[in-house]
Amino acid sequence: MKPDFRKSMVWLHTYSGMVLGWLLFTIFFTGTLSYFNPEITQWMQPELQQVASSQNSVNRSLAVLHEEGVNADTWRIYLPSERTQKWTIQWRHGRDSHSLDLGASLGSILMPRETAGGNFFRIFHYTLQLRGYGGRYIAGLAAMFMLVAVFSGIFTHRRFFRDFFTLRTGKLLKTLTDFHALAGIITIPFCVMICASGIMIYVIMYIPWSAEHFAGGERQLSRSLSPGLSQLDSTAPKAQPLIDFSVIQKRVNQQWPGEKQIAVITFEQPYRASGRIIVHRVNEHTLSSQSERLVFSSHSGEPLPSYLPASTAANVRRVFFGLHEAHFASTALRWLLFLLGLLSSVLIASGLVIWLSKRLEKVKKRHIGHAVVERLNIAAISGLPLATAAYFMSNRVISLGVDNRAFIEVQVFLWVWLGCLLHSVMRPARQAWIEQLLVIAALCLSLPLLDIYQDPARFTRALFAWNSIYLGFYLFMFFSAFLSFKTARWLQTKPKIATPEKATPQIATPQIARLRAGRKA
Amino acid sequence: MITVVVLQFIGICCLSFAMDKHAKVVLAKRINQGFKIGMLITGWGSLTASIVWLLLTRDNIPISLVDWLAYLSLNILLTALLHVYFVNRVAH
Repeated sequence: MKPDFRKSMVWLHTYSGMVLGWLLFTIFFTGTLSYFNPEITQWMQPELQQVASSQNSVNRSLAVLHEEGVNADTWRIYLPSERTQKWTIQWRHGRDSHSLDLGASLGSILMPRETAGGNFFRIFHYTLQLRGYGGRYIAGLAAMFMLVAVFSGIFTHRRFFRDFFTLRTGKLLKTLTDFHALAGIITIPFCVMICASGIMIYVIMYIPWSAEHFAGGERQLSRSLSPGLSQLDSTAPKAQPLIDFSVIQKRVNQQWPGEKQIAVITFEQPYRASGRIIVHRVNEHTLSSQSERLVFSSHSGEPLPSYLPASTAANVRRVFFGLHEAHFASTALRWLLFLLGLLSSVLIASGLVIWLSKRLEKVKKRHIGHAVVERLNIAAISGLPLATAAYFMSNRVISLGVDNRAFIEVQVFLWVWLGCLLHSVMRPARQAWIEQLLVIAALCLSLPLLDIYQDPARFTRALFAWNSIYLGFYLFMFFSAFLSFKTARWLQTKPKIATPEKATPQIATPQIARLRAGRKA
Repeated sequence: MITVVVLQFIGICCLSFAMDKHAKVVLAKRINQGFKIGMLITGWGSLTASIVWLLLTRDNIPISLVDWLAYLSLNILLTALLHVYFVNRVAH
């Protein structure tokens, strides 16, 4: 018999999405949050000041480095931006590394609280906290499954174009199915781009044999594809590094017109005559993850030969990397990408719920698989946002003097998430959904209030300085609280669907009993 | 960018009106072939105009194309929500 292509695609779509659905939801949700990685970090380090508009910041950094980083091998200056508000200097002697965060007023040094910040979500979404234990391989596999689910999903629609804008409201399952299809259509380019670029970032790791064959290893291949600068002579005579950066600044301005074009400045061997300065441009002008760079002498400020052009393969990979991380995105585009990321997460979540609902409609008696899917759905779809809210809360609750604060924050996230799984197993499904959603609402609502209670000056400072990032975080928390609360209320008021186990219920709720009595009468 | 977004929205709306099912809901009548072709031409024309306008007015073409695709997704969502609104209005 000739196999039915559409049926095969439906099967492929169902099970490619189903098998890794919870993992995909986790990766997409945390990945979506990491679009606002610096903004989240900024909120989680309220001690940081508005330093983006500081004047003469490079020379001020150099003055501190001349005092603190004497005879260091490397100096590095991370200049502040509106998104980070973090002005950091680093110096290194061999493997011994030090850093300082500078404040807006002259000579001030900030001591922001230790936190894993928004970077936790970024790292988690591709390592799953399993770096060194195959986390990146699992994430890569999930991306491949997602690509299969996206493409097979296109063929599962009987009337792809006819129903392009269809979203029927009324019955929950119909609305969910339509929304799943619509979200799928809208996010096709986004999902393809994100999954393909996610795979491309670690392509050398996923296909190690070619790297071994062509260059003798992953590192060697990377080096041969994108050659770095020449090795510095560490025995060269001593020389004093620049004190005034204006010589270089003039040259930089000629090359890169516009204000605030420098993101990072690295001094390599600053106390040697052979030392050099690498100036990295902000990467909002290119899709590539590698921003433009200029190289100068560290003691005379004269231009030096720059990087050799990277190979096409390396450039393609960098563009994919850039597309994935979207450093180039303006605020509007960043919000759009965030919205698309959320839509993709909802797409996956709705697919998981549809899978279960459709099967429960058909079967007379549930089996263990249904219960497992139902509980994992709750733990993933409401448990993950709850763990995220708890993570933010831990940032404000854990005492500032505690050692390993960042580690404890991450532990809070993971334990709360595990707690959500246990809670979903122990409680009836609907109650578990409602309770977890209500806890999310409570946490999201109390987070800004607790922040204001802890230090009202933070809020007033953000308000008067119109710090849109800090205030935006508050608003987003209020919105999340509202959304969670409304969903929980809706679930509470929604009449119970007769599940297979309760197809002929022995105990009816008072409302249903009254309805039945009315009908009989 | 506003011009591009508006042109995209017009384009997507026109393309949705060119579909029997959606046009029937919004316009509350069956559409004839002429109207359908007109909407198709206006829709694709508007989308083409939006991308041409983008290429002519923006310096950084690669980033602008990412912008264009992201706004296109938003406009499809908005058009779908608009259709939901019309469906509910007709139903009531």
